[in-house]
Amino acid sequence: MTSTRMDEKLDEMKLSLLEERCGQELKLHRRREQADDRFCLEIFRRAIVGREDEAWIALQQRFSELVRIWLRSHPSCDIALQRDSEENYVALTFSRFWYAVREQQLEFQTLNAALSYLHATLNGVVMDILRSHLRSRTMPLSDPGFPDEPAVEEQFGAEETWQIILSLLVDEREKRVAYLLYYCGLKPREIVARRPEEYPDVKEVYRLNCNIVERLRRNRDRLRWLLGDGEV
Amino acid sequence: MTNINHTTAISDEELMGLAYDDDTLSASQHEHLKECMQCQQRLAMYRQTLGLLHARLYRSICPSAVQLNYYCLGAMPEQERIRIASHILDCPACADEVAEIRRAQAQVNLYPELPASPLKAIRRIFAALVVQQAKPVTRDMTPGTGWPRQYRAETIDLSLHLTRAHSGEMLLLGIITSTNPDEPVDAFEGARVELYNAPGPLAEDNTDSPLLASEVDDVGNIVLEGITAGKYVLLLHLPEREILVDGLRIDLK
Repeated sequence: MTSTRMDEKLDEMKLSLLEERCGQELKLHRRREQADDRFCLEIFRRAIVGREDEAWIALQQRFSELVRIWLRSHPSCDIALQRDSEENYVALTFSRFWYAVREQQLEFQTLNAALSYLHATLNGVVMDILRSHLRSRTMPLSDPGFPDEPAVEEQFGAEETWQIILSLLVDEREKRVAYLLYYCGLKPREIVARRPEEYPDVKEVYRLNCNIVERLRRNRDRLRWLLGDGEV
Repeated sequence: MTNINHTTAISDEELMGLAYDDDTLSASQHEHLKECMQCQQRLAMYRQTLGLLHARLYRSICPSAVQLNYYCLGAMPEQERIRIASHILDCPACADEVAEIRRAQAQVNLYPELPASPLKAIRRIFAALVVQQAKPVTRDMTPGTGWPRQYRAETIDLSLHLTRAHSGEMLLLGIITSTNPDEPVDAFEGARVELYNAPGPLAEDNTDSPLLASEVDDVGNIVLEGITAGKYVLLLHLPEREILVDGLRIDLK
C-alpha cells in the first residue's frame, strides 16, 4: 500500500496515486466502513472541472466495472442487451454523463452524489433504449407503401409536428385522446382505466380516434411525411 | 360476387377496437368481416395509420429518460426542472417513468458487492505454463519469460506469442485450441479476452477494468494490440468457464 502524506495537497497528487487511494476507499465503501471520498472526488474534479484527459480516462477505468455491475442488476438488463452490447451501454453512459456534467458545470461534493449521477445516467440510457424498443415494436421495418420513410423528426421538429396535428383537430377531447394514444402510447382501454372521469366509455375513445384518423388522412397532403403516400 | 349481409355491418368504432386487438365483434360480424372487402380494407387502413402514428410520434415530445433521471435526483437547473414538472403533470407515460425512477433511486446500491457479478458463478480455471520440450532450456532461463509460451487448462491449449507490428507497436498474439474432439475451434468464436494489470481479477474486491480487450476469431486467434512492459493477468471468458493466465510478465527489452 502506498502511504499518502496527509498534508500533501490533493490537487498536487499524482493521478496514479489518486487512483490507488480511490480504489482503496471504494473497498471501504463496499464494506460499509468509513471512507475518505476526497481521492475519488479529486479524479472527478480533474476530469470534469479541470477537463484533464488523463483524469477522464482514469475515471472511466475506475468506475466502468461499477457501471457494468449496475447494468447487470438492472431489471430491464435482458431486454436492453438484446438491443446493444454491454460495452456500448457503459461507453454511452460515460458519454452522456460527460455532456451533462460539462453543460451544468457540476462539481460533486460527495462521492455518493457523483455515483448517484452516474447511476442516473445509466438508468436513463437503458430506459431510452426501451422507449425506442416500444416505438419500433408496433411497426414492421419495411412496410409496403412506406419504404424507408424518414422519421418525422428528420423533416419536422417533434414539437412542430405536434402543433400541426393540434391545428387539424378542432375538439379539445380529440386533442387529448390523440396525445394519450399516439404520444403516450396508451391503449383506449388504458385511457378509460386511468382517466375514467374524462373518458368513462371506451366506445367514445374509439369514436374520437376514428375522427382523428379521418381528419389526419383528409389532410395527408400536409402530413405526407407522417402518413406517407400509400393508399389502403 | 359474394353476397354480404349488410345488417351485420361493422361500425368504424368496432373496427377501430379491432385494430387495437379489442375484439367486441359478434360471430355474425366476424363472418361479415371475412367476406367484406370494404371492412377489411378499412381495418387495414386503421392498423397501418395507427402503426405509423405510434412509430413516429411515441414519446417524441417527452423529455428523455436521462433527463427524467436527473430531474428525480434534483440535479437540474430550475427552469428546466419547472418545464419537466409541468410536462409530467400532463403525461401519464412520463409520470409512470418518474415513479419507476424514484423507486430505483431509493433502492440503488452505489457500492455493490462484486460477487453479485454473474461472472463469479462461472468456473475459473488457472492455465498452467507448459515447458516446451522442443526448445533448449538454459540454466539461467527464468520460467515464463521466453516466447512463445504454451499454456494448458484442462482440455484447452493456449499459445501466446509476442511480436512487433510494422508500426512498432507490440502485439500479443494467441491461438486457442481444444483437445476435446467435441469442442471445435469455432466454439470459441466471439469469446471475450481481457488483459489486466496484475493482480487484476485475482485481487479481492477487484473493480479494475481491463487494460485491453479483444475477441477470439472464428479460427481461435487472439490479437491484443498496444502491449507495454509489465506484469499482467489474461482472462478468457469461454462458455461456462474462464481461463486465467496468471503471472504473465512482459519484458520488451
